[in-house]
Amino acid sequence: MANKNRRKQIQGYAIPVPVVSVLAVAMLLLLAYVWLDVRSKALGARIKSLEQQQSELQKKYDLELLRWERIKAPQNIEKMLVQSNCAMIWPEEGNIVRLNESLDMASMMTDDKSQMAQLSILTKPLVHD
Amino acid sequence: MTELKYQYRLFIVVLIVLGALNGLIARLIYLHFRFGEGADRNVRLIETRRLETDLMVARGKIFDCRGNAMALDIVKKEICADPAIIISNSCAEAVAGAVARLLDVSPDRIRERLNQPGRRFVYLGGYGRPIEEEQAAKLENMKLPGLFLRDMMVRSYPRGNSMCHVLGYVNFDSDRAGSAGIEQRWHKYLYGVHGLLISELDGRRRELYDRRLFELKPRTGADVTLTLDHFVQYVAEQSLEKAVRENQASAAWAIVERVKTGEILAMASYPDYDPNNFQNVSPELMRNRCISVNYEPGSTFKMTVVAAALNEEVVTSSQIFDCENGAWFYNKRPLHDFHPYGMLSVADIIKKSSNIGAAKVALLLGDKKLYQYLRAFGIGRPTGIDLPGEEAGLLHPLPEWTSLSVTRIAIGHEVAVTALQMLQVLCAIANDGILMKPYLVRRVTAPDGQILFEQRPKAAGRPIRTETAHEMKRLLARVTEEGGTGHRALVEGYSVAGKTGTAQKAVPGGYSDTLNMASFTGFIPVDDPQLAIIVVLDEPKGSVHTGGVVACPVFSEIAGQIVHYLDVPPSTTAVVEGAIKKETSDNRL
Repeated sequence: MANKNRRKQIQGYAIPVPVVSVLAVAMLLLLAYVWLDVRSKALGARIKSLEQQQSELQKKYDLELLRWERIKAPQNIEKMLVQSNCAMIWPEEGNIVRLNESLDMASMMTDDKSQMAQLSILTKPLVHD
Repeated sequence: MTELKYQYRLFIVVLIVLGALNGLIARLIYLHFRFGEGADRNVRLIETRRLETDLMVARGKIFDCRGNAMALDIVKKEICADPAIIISNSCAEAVAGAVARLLDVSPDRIRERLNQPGRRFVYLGGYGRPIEEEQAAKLENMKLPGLFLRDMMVRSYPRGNSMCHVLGYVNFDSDRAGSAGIEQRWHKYLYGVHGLLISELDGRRRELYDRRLFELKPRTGADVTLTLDHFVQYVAEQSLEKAVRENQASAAWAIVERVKTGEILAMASYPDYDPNNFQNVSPELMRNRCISVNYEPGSTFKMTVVAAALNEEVVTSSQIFDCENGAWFYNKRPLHDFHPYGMLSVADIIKKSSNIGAAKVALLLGDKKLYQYLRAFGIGRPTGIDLPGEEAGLLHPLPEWTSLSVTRIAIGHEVAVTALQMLQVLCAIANDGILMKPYLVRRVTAPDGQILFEQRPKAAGRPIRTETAHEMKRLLARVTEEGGTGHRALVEGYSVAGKTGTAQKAVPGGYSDTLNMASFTGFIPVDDPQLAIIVVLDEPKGSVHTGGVVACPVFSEIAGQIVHYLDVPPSTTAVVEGAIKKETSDNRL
């Protein structure tokens, strides 16, 4: 029987390759899970913070809108004019230059012409009883 | 030997680490599955961590036709407290004193609310009573234990009293239901749907976003855009306030309507109230008198009778009637004129407002025809405007009419109308005989911009022919000429047509000799009617309190401003010639 070559003998316990592979994959999955968890938590925190920011901005916007509406109210403008010793008068007809048909006049023309035409044919009073 | 010694140490270390790890794993398993713990404790732990909250939502805004926000929700703070914490910290006195000083209330009231050791939550300022920003900041700086501020939605009306009767107000209850005006009628669009959030909290009571179990986003209410114009409304309100003051009237109301479309530009009533502080306002002040007060219209009603008679061709405008020198007995009952007149044409009956002449015209028309025309003009039924609480007026069914009824209805007695109904009659005349449905809401828009509801001008009937309407316009324009009862209604540069009215108020047992309703209903300009306005003053007290004296100047003041504001072209016809020239200062903003 030939003597064993001690130099060629593997020292210690060799873990089989499949086990190492499984462990490596498990480790990768674990790291991926941890990374995803951290990332989702960070995103969640950011979403929460943005939600709060949006809510705060909405509150501020509404308050500003309220202030602005109070400022531009005719009664406030009139008060300011009195305080500033100013008076406003309507322009004379000769001082007005009309570039196009006024919006108010245009909005008046929105009535339903066909409806009017139908009603204008009637000669007797139309009673809704 | 040395190698063995090291191996032994390594074994010990590994054993300790493994032991510690096992311990941790065992504790984790124990905590996770809670072996041996009572079910109550588990439930309590889950409940402690659980977050279930309603997400606040804003009610829709209300805009005028120019996009000015007339009603909107803002977030304010309300003061809440945890009496258990406050009492355990023995600081009830300090908290009561600080809050009482801030809210300017009695400390006893606060003490009483705090003196509930078993409770974990109380409202210190009262349910639904917000505090101002500065007060909230002061309170936060005090850092009092057990005291905290909570956000709440508050309905705010930036223009205060303006449009109060149209807008209404919102209750403090949890549903925040609209309780009057547009807020009530359009509540189904305006109210928002609360959201719901179910999640978990961390040790510092912060929400864990990744543990969010359920989230229902809140749905903001839809915005309502009115046909009202804030400036026209302001002008009407200012004029009414002045008129009530000058004439010592108990109330006054006015409506401005676009003749051709039925859009209401202003609906004002005085006295008014602030919907931001509606709690202590009497219901009487909250009434929108324009649609909820039935009154006998008096002489303004004569135009209805004459229009019907002209349309039926039973009279012509030049036909002469004997006005009996101011006193006439019909069925043994007397009828008087304010001034005695002899022979008057139908045109002059309108111009001079002769009761006897109008009664004789109505007799020629006959009660059946008169009733038919009144119904056609919309008398005795609501106009269907987009507001709650509209009265129908009062028009007795024909079988209930007495032999005198036709002569009394002809002069605006024995019949009751709302101001809006009376204005509708005038608008039909001004609009070539076509009665338009009045409306206040132009559109309703969802937060995403989708239009949920839109209202367009709609004809509601046609009581008289075009030719009759033209003739009536001519007759009504004479009322504002010199010698007519309504000459104070004139506006410089514009022709005005209309009818004055002064009716004694009905009191138990008959009519009052001192209490009157004075009104003027008119449109402007006559050649191309754009705007119709009605002004009513209740119980004016002065030496002369007729519609021509007290209501016409109010009409003139309102119309004089808004024709400029709305850029209504001045009249070009000869009707203007009789206009009273006014100082430019009258036309100040």
